[in-house]
Amino acid sequence: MNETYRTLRWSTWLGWQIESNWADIRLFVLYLIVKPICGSMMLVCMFYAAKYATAGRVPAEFLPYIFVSNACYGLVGMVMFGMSNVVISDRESYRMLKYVFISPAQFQAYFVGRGLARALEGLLGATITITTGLLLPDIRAAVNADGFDFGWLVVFLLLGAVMLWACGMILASAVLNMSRSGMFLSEGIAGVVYFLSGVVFPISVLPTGLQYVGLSLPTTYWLEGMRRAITGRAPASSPLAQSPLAKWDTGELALMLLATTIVLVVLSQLFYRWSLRKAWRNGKIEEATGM
Amino acid sequence: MSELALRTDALGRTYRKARKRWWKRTDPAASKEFVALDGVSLEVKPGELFGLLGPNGAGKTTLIKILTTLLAPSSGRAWVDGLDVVADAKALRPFINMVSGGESSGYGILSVRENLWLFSRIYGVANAVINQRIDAMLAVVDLADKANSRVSHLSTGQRQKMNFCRGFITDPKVLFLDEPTLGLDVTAARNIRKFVKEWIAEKPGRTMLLTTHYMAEADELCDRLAIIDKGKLLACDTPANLKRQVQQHSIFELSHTPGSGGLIEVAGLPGVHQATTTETPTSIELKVLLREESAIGGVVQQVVQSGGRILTLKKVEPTLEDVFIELVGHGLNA
Repeated sequence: MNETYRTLRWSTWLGWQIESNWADIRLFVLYLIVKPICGSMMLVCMFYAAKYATAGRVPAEFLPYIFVSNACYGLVGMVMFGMSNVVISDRESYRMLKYVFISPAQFQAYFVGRGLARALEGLLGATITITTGLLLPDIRAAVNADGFDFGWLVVFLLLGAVMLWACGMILASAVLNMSRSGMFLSEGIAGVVYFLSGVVFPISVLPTGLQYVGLSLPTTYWLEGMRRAITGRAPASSPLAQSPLAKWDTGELALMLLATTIVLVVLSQLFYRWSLRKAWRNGKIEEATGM
Repeated sequence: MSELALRTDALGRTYRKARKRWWKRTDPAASKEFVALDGVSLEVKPGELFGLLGPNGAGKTTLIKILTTLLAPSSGRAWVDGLDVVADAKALRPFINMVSGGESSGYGILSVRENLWLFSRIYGVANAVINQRIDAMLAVVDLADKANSRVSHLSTGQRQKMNFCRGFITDPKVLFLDEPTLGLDVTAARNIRKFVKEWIAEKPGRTMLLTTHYMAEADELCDRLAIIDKGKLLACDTPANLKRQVQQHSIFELSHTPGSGGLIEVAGLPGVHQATTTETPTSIELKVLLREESAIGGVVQQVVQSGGRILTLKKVEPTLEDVFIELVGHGLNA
């Protein structure tokens, strides 16, 4: 436990140094603030374009839905990419992965620590994006004292942290046995999860088969929980209320997130052990494929 | 087991051929099975500075990878400080460290001091002694003035020096040095050799496994040496005893101009045990091991008859290189 805590401490520090300090502060700000805001603003523009094209028939509650989802999903993408990228960068660029592996450091805690720095960035980016969104009247109307639930926000953030750890470990484990092109894996998977978790549309829009896939993903419950904690429930008359999750109360949602997260954690741990052993057997922990 | 610092028992490592996938181009070299280590059995006592000599691809680095728990053996077993490198890897790791020469690893965004501090913390070195150790080690490799420079601003050689420090800063019980002076300038290499000798003598029980390409370095530093080629252990003894193996032969070094037909063949002459030739831009350097000293006459005659002109001729004492050539059949660079 002591070793895990120690590894977590210094790897988080290292992660923060690498993530925040790699360029000058202007570039860091550009990356942390401008990138997520621009990404969300594209969705805002698409929303207004659709509203204009349909003569205002797109319900107003769609905007806070996609805006908050997208801001929160940034965290998922950041952590998934961040943790898998640790393998690539440490093995191929810094050439330090082998030294960390043969040290007393707890190898998994190292990935988690490095991922934590990314998560912090993602959290900061999401907060900044949502705060910026408050400049838009449609979002300001949804994010208010009536809709905001701090208690559930904390619950979903805590469960989400565990879920993100499991997601990140699955990708990092997979990349252990892949060449440097494995970094595209996290982007691909993040794209698929983005599509299936109902980030920018309710999953009721998906074909029935894909709805079941979406409902098996903890990210679907996490995003719904985050949206509810920040903007409250969608009005009963809204098309958003057609979503299979709309009928669930927030407690049920949290319990389902907990259950799917437990399954994901177990799977991630089994996969991590199998992948690590395979990488150790095949000499992949120090095999640089970039040169 | 515990009286030995290192022990390997019929240790083997085979790199399996890559599975063919229809969607993937397969490297032809990876489509064959490659035996990197073939039943290597070794014993190293605590306090020993043990050397591994061998040409590229001989299996030295593979052996180090297995002993440092970085790679799984395919067969056999290995123990470091009495701990099995497979079963007890976690318990073993706090007591070992490794330095790979010729590579420029390090977190470029951190300073040299931060990199070293980080690794000291990984190994649980107390904060109170870290800076003291860092300063001492940086002084050894003449890198003190770069302590606060970002690693990304260092040259390859300077990075290598930092990595050398990283290996020692955790005060390991068993240290693995893989070509530590590769690519370093003469002064730096000499300082490192001096420090290595002092480090091993400073505290009883410290053990070091060193691989090197430099015969003189191995001769100067190592208490015992193993010569390895194509994954097989060919000999293991003290440098003096190894040299004694070839002392039964007289060794001559002969420098001559090329003959009319290019290289002059002397290996088949009566009394000649072995001959190696090195071409330089101006001459040909011939080294011959003779079963009897009088055979040198035949060698000289052969050179002259083939149109070569003798530039120098001297009798020399056997070196590790001679031992190596005797065992492997060619020099390290061949």
